[in-house]
Amino acid sequence: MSEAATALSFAPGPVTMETEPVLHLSMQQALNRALDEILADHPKTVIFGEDCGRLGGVFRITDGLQAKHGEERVFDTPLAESAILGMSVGLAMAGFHPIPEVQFDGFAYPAINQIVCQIARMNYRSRGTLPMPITLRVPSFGGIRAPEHHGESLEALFAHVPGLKVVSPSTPHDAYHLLKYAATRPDPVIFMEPKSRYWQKGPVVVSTATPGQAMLDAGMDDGGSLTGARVAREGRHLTLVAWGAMVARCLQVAELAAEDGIDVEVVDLRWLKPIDAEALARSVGKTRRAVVVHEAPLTSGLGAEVAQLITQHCFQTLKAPVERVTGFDVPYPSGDLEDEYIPNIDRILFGIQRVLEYRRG
Amino acid sequence: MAEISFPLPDLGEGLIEATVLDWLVSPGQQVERNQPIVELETSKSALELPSPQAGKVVRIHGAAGETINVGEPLIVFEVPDDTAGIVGTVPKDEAPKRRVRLSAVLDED
Repeated sequence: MSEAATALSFAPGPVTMETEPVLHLSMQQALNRALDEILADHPKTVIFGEDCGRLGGVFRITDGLQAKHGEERVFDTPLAESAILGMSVGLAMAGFHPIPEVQFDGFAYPAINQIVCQIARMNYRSRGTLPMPITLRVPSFGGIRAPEHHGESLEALFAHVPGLKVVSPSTPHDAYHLLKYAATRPDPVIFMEPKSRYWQKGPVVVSTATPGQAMLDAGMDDGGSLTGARVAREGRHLTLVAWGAMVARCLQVAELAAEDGIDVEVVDLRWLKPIDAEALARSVGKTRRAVVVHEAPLTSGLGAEVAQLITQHCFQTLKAPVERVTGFDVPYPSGDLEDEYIPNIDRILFGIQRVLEYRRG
Repeated sequence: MAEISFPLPDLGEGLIEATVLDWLVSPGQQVERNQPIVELETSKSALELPSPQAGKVVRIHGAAGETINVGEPLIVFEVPDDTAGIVGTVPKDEAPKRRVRLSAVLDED
């Protein structure tokens, strides 16, 4: 990442920050506002999905958008995810910028063919003549006591597919800016919203310009820091790497670890593809210890990729193998059992302890 | 606070409209889920419609004697933002609890 881009560090560029107001919004409100502004700024944008129109979405993310922007730009679809994503392909071919919603993570499975075989590779297949500027919003991860197919973590599945980019915000501020950024990209982006974090509020620096455009106007490249990870908390002894809803939990763990004299850094990965390997190297190069935390099952989860990148860049200085604290290799359980499945504070602390105790033989 | 609009549902047998006989709630009133909110008459029958949810009534559409088409707004509720989601529950931000303590001898080399 260039010096200029690093200097931006947080999403809003210095170009507009002085004059932009800071609002106190939930992630639901931040996403709703971002979509409203995208619709207003980009006439080729269309938003659709199950209950996205009249109802405003089961999480109210598209609340009021149909009434404001009309039924031709914000509309309901049948309960058919393959059709939602197939229609996105056709709309993108015709010059539109679709922002489809798959209502829940587990509902993406019926659309995998459209996502993998069409959206991810149409640009490649057409030698760049048919780009797919599609932002697929997927309310993701668990934590809301919902039934099957409503709590899954598909980041590794999507990240494995060439042609897709994958991002997950952990704060209302990042949600607002990353969605506006993703929606103006020429490439398909899978936008994984941590549904258990929809209602917690936080400061959001709003900007009428899309950050990507503001940075282009300022002579900077493709969005700068919006493409990278974020240090959510600085520390000296160990790095916790997380994304989505696990970032908030890792920040809690860091506070508890501080009581025991352990100074934990928390890196919010944000982009799950491409992964900001430089940020990982910077952090773990300093702390020399790392634990990756995710809700998805352990085996072939994104934690393995993160652990490898850290090992690759920090092998000489690492004091212990990178630990993973994750969900289990089982189908995501129903609501009553999800506290046993999602990495809790004690399991993350145990992971930290294992790394702290490690001694080279 | 968020507003949730409830349109007149299909009351059965493919009927496309209903006439308001009497509103049982008024704007400003707090209602519970399944509480009767309005008496309606279709060309087949008269019936009481139960509230689809709890919330404060913000607006009602159609005075007594007026006809509403299926799908048109019937009543608008106001609910707290964090109860506006329709699936699942809202996680509470609780003080973190721990049982595990960390112990380490850190060499600061």
